[in-house]
Amino acid sequence: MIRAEDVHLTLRAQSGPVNVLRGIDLEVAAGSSIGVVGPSGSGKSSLLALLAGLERPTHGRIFVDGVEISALNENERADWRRRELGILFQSFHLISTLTALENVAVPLELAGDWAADAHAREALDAVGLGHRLDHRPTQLSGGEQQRVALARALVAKPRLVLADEPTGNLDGDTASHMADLLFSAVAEAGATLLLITHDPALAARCDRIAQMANGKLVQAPSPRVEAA
Amino acid sequence: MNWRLATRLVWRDLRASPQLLWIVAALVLGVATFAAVGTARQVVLETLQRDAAVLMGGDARLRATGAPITPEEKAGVVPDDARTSDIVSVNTILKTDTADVTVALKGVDGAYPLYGELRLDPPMPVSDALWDRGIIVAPGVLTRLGVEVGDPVRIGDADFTIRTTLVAEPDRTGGVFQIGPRVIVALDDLAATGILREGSVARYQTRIALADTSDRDGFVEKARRAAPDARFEVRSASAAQPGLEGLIDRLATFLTLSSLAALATGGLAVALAARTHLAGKLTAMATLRALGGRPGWVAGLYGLQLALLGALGLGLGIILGALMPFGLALLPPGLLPVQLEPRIVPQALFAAAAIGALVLACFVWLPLAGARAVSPASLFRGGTDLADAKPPRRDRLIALGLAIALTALVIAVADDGRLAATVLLALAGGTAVLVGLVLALQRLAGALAGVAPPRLRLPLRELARPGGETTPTVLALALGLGLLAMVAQTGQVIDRELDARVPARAPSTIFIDIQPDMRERFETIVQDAGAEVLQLAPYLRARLVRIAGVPVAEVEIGEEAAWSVRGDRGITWSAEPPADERLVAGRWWSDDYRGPPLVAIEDEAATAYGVDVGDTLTFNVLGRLVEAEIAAIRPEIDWSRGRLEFLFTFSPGLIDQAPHSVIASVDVALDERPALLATLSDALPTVTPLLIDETLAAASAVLDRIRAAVLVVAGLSLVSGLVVLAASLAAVRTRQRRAAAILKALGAGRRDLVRTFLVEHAGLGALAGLAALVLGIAGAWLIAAFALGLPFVFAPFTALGIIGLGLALTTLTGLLGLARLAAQSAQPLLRAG
Repeated sequence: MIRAEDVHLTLRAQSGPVNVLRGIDLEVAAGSSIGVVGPSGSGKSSLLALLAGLERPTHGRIFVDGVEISALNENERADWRRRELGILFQSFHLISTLTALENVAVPLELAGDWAADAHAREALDAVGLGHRLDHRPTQLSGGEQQRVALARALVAKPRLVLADEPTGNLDGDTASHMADLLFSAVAEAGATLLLITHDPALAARCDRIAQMANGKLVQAPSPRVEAA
Repeated sequence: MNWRLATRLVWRDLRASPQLLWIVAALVLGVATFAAVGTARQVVLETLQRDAAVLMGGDARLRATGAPITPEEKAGVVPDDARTSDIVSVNTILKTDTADVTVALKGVDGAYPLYGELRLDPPMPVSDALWDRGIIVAPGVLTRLGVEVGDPVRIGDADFTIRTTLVAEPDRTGGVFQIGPRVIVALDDLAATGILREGSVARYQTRIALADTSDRDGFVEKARRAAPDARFEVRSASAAQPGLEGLIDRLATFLTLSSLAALATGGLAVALAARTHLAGKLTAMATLRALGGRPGWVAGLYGLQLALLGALGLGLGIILGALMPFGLALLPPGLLPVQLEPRIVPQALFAAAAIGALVLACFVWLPLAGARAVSPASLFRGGTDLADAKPPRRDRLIALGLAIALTALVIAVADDGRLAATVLLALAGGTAVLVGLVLALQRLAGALAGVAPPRLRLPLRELARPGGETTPTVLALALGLGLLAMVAQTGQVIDRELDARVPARAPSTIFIDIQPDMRERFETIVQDAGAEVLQLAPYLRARLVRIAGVPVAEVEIGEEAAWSVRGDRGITWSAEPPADERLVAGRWWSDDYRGPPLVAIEDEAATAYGVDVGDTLTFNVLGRLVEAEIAAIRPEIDWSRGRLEFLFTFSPGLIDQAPHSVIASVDVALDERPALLATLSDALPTVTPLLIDETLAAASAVLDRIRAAVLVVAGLSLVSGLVVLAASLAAVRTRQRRAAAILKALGAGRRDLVRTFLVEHAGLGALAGLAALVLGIAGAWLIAAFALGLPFVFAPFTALGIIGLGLALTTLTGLLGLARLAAQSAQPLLRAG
């Protein structure tokens, strides 16, 4: 499903170039889940941005389902995301001017789905927010906002779900409930899941674990850890 | 591209973004001001042109001396759709059996007057007054002849009956220097008088009211082409008031400047509001892109949003701009110096719409392109700032293209393209200087932040933050205030000039036919009556016959002075040069000079004749040829000042031996004038008064209109400038709201917040005020010196007042906003992330 070959990412900063990723090689099978762990600044979020096609690697190639997304132009990557990808952010990134229902409907509307609202309603029902359809993000709790974000990530039935610290902003119980929702929904959809987390318990729920440090995937003691 | 979704998203976003109203408000006011100024400019200029036509009695006129202009001569010159009126003017003597008086006689046809109204006392139609050998006389005639309305009088061989007296004459073409009181008779009755003999000095005019009054100069050009060798002179009303022409030009210049200022401040407000809006939408835009929205589509979404708002703002602005003159007309009379006749001027509205649309595109393109350039990967990195996003080169080129198109359009619609180009260039230069100034001051704030008391460090750092709102906000505030100060300051320069134009002590009455031996007696009588003699000059009539030895008929004379060689002119002589005047060339003769005649000539005439100091002019003075060498060239005469002015001033000597009279201007209060006239009439019966109040009043009315226009336009600019201030503050407040939430979470109390933001507001205000003061004064000085050619008047209270008002408003709205900020709950903002 996912294949990354010698992926590098260098960002330009005022103080000079920063080598964020330094030669990532990674393979993830379709329908499996992988947790990426590592200290802050190790390059986890940048890897996610590359896999989502939000950025292009400075060097190396990324294939998803046989499509070399690193070779697509900006518009093609946007189209690809719309068809294949669901994203979950740590800060939720709901659009503050839209209601919960409208936020969830956006990916479907982007795909030209005339029944977007109905599908969005079902998705919100599935995450237990059927009664909060018309609330704006500022009127929802953190857990509720992340559930809206989950509904949005899954509503278009993506084949790949990328999650960046999906429970990082939530308290213990809410986080656990959120994780249950995420894993069950992904399994139900048969999608591939790559998640980034600091939480070992959350990582442990994935099929495999990859550990990052200093922009590289490194060997780790866990049998679930996979390294280049 | 899913535009159905785009419009849905646009609508949803509009619903929750009340700050977008600033874009609409800024555009509405910017466009409305531009449209209203354009309309006002047109209406004021047309009013002035109409006044000019009334004063001359037509949009244009043909004038000849000696013999009437025949229908054959007029054919091919006067358009078929024009109305015409024939007038004859001649100086003659009006008699009764016991007395006589020299009068300026006008013979008019049935079409007279083409423009304006002849006011008579007792009132009656002109045709009734002139019917059956009726005559209209100036009131002075009754006193001089000791007659009343209804009494008979005689001109040449014909008898007339006085039907009524003249209160006001719309066409005062005789101006200050007509030879006697006005009397009017029917043109057909003139023949019977026998005074229009071949070779008489009568002036014949055909006045023309054109069907298309806007093309007077075009008519004159065509007429001159159609009859290049014509005996008559063709002149348009537009050129009839040489003294006012310069003022009208300056008014147009000022109006151009003001509307450009309104345009620039409106554009700034739009740019700021758009920037603030887009800065708040970066996360939403990045999110939409992460969800699969193409970058062009996402940028297009917000572009569409801005375009819709823009269309709304433009539409409302045009409507408001069109209605504004009507609104002004509703003000109680007396609030404005004159009532302007409101109407819709389509070309002004079109220009405002086109320029408003380009301003919107121009100012919004770069923020939009910057927002488009923000990577959605920023969502993983705690968001991004619009200041970090550099628009791609292509977009910068497009923005440059739009700016060039805007510049070209502004220059094309401006009355004075060169001035508009200069102002735009100065605006660009001023902005560059301001950016430098603001950056330097920001550095200073940054340096101070390190040493300031802890509680002041945060606001100082906010001011110093590179790429923050400080630069654009201070820039907009400073440019807005600076432009307002500049407009107000320039308004003062023009106002001062207007003041100088209206003579401090208008000569209310001119007396002619004072014999040299009556001079002392005349002065004594005037002084005894509590009045004052302002000017006293010897006077005789002479005709210029040769220029540098060449007969006048063979000299090619510029049109502006052609009138001066047709017929007799009043000449004078003086040992001393006129007071307060610097000669353009040459030197005035010494007090005791008694050599061959020397002459001083006005600059415009000298240029038209093609002569200089040292050349000779030959005059026919009462049948004798007098050759005089040009010794001095005087500055162009401003006839609107109402002073006694002469085109030719001779050195004393030979010429003062000729029989002459003395002409005097006298300052006498209106209510004391009848007594003075009666005394003079008894003591010196040959002295004739000319009442010139009407002429001066007409000139003053025109000046008042100019003043009104300056006032109205400055007011409009002020209003649109205030919107910029509001928009600037909206930008600051959006960020402050977020900062307030964080500070509150960190334990800041209400007082801490108010202090923090007050320091920031004061800092912004001080930065902007300082920059605005420099910009406003420097700009006004440049405009006065280079565009208007007027002396700069530093009016510190105007500039400081405008800036102080702006800052007071800034602080007041800031404080109101702060009260709300301090009271709000931090939770929703922090939760929204």
